[in-house]
Amino acid sequence: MPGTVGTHVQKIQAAVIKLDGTAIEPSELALGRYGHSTAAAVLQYKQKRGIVNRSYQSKADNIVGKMTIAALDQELVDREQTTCVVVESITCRFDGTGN
Amino acid sequence: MERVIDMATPWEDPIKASKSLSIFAGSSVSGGAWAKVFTDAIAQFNSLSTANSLGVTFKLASAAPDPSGVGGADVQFEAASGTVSFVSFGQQISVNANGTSLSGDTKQVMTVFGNTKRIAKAFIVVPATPQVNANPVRAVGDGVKLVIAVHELIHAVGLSNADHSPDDLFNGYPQVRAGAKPEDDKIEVNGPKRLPPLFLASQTMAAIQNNWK
Repeated sequence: MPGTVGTHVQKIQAAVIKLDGTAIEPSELALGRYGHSTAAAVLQYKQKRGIVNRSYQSKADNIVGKMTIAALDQELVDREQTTCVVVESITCRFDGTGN
Repeated sequence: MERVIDMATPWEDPIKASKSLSIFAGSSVSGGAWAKVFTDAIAQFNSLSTANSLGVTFKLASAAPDPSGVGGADVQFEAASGTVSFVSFGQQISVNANGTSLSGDTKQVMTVFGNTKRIAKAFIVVPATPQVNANPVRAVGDGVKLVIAVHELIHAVGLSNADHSPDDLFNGYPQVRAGAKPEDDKIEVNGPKRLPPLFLASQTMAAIQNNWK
């Protein structure tokens, strides 16, 4: 929720950045502060996926509730299961033989 | 899976957004001949970054990268002679280092999701005691080691061999020039230009800036 501060906010910030590549202000990331850029990122995330609780609202808001947490968790799990790890090697020589 | 890389790769988005990479100096560095050079290399990179708005700096970390996941430092720096091994995301990574060569190795550990590649960890290995033929052969001076270290830090921020610049410390064909004393040793790039002092050309600056914007 806007105005909140804590590690739980940092997890939400990390999730929306990872899933949508959204920009969040470094000052909000450093403090785990749910500022205006975090709120905008959450709103964009919810709008893209149509996360709206139809029982009391008609459009997405910038608040992370149960539906949003569930969507973030599921997407992160899906992403993890389809992500592979590769190691890329770089060797440099400084004796004039080139890299 | 291990392969030779061909272009700059961004770091994972949360790390990229922080504009900072944490780096852990292993025991081979923290108490040895590379200790001062490592400290100077971090300071020099950060100074170059600030002066040229590169978009990323290094901060020292007290914990090594977590072998099983994203925890711990983003980058690990070691000096070695022989084989040194790391574990990252459960994968073993080995570097066979010639302890007296004038070289540096960087391993970029990447996550691949569809067509999207992101660096999640990086491991740098430099030779324990690099040598130069100054007739006779002797240990190279700290200035040359500094060039090697900062060059590898640039690979750690995501640049590949394809990003090498002709005209600065990120040159792809650097040539050591032995001085009368170790402190006079230099790295020569693009003809007469010698380092240290360290400098970056616009090509390298742009590559780093683009990778961190």
